[in-house]
Amino acid sequence: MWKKARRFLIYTLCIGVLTLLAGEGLCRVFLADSLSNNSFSRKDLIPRSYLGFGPSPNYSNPLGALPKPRVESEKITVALVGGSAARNLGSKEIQSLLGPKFNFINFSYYASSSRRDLIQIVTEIVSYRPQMIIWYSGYNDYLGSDPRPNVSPLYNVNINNPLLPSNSSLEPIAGLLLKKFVFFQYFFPDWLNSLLYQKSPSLSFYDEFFELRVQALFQNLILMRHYSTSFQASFYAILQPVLAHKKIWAPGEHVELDEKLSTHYPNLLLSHLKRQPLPTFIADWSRLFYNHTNQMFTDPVHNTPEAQTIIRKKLAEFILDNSIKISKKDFPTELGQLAPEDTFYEWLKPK
Amino acid sequence: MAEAKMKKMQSLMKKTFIIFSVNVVLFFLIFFCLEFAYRLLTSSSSRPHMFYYNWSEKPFVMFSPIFNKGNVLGYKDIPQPKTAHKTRVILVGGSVAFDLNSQLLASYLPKNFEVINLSSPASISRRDLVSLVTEVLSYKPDLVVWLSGYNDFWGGDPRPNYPHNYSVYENNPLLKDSVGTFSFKTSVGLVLFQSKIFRDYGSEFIAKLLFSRWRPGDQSHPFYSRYLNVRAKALIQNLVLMKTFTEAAGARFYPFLQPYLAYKNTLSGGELQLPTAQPNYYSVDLFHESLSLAQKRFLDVIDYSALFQDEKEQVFIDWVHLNSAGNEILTKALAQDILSRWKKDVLIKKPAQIESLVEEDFFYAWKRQDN
Repeated sequence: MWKKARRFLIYTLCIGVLTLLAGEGLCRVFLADSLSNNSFSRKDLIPRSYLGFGPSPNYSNPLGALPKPRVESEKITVALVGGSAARNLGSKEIQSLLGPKFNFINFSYYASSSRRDLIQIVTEIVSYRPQMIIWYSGYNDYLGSDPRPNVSPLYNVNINNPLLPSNSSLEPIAGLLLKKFVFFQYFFPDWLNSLLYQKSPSLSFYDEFFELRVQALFQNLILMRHYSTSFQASFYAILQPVLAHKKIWAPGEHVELDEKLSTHYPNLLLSHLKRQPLPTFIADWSRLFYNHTNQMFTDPVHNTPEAQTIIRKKLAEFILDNSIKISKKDFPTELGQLAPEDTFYEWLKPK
Repeated sequence: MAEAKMKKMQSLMKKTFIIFSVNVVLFFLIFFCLEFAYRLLTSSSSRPHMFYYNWSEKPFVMFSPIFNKGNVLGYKDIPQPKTAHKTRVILVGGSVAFDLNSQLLASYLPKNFEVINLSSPASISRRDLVSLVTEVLSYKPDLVVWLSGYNDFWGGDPRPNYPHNYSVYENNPLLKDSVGTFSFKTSVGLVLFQSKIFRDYGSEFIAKLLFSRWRPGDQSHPFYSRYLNVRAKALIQNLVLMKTFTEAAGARFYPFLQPYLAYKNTLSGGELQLPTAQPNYYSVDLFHESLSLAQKRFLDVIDYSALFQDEKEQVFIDWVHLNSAGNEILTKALAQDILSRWKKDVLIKKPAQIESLVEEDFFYAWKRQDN
């Protein structure tokens, strides 16, 4: 009996470990993108130097902007930056609303925060000589998955993360180790996160760093505006619409949400912003759908197609109104000679 | 008879399979136990993308040399609140700038000058640009001195604008096109790279497995020279941007190209032992050739590549790094050039927006609280 049980145990263990290794091998062969994804808890975000993360690089459009950016000096170039809400607006519809005099490029990307947007402006966007830069975001800065100000969201498994209890605790170490397996990352992400981020759901860290994060957001907006002005681009910031500021929630909007995530923080951010009069370059669209009765949100910040159509129209109007104010100053000579950022991605050329 | 032989064979095969499987399982279990214990007993910081250097990984800026509770920004000097009557000089660049003593540089400058060294070994110009706009300018410098150049042409990654030693990152062309086409050796290297034990103690071995097509630092390989032209262009572009943003923040920007052993006429002492085959001449020439007239005028780079041309004593410890005598000569030369240029330049007024900035270390409250 004991012999049988021992044999069964050995077989089970062998098969278990060998299956895991075989599964891991297959995952690494077929799920190539996740290979270097170990610092991230989302598998659609690929690590990118300086920006933290971005789309999977490819030769035809290495920056992943919508559409591939081009320098068109005879047109008014408008660059949109921000997170997923801006990304979901696309570019085709806004371009057709603006007309042929404009060159509209959507540089935004999912989960982006203001620090990432700032770096994107000074390293990538500047080389396309934009006359207008519009930042459309806000939510990611105070509710990313990492509570540390100016730390890239989804950069959780990283040095001295306050979400991890301590260096000597067993569960996060096990989580960190298992996170090295693409297999676990793909098929058991929630379980891995439960091992790693014991403190995350309590939101206590969000409370602790909230003030600092709002301040960091403000600082980044000021810097974005300041540096944009140095290369003759007008900069505008738009605070994205949020479900918390909709008066009547439609049936589809009654998703199960943490009260803090859905209402408390958006309100707190606005009250922070309104302690002093808003700088003129910041437009508050957080209450854009306040009186709408239809479903406009699919979650606290992402919009339904109907809402996106409204936002696109409003954004196009905003651009057209403000384009009148664009100064006719020439782009500085030395900056006019900048090579577009995508020229540095020659190494992506298929062999 | 044949049946008995067959049975014996089968039993032998079964036994071999069991022994093999048990060994494989035991090997991995022991390895995982060791890995687990190692991670438990050592720091949780694992720097999974970096080769060779133990710099701390840092969001957006990529890395900094030090990163602890007392020094949250992670540089050699800790900036103190600015006093109105002081002219603040901030030094940025790679290891040659890092090796300079800010106190010594300040001692060669007038008394109202203070020098803060915010450079980082292995930094390249794109990293300097990101550090400048996110960290450096929040300390309200009056002058930013950039001293570097070599790192943009050499390093662990031949891709323009890519930080050093982040080789296992994105679609690295040093590796093959996709994971599916990796050789067995590369795949083994990548798997071993996931182990902290191997990363900490076997980085050379993993590098051998991974970079079968190229090794970090191998300047004779075609990969090294393939992107040199684009790298020169990227360096110039980053300098133009650094100067633009520094001046927009109400400060002056003085770029200096670092000294090179290749330009020293008389080698002495340990310098004679150093390999002479190095493409340094080429990279400096390439930099100057790639500058357009407008960029040349705008940047006004001070070229120190031949600073030690006529020096008879040993000043280099390798192709670019200096001994203490070399550092002293460089510091004096820097101070002289900074002063002569500073006297000619008109002061720029700091915009109110920049004056209102909170210093970057303010946002590292979480770092001060840990441990």
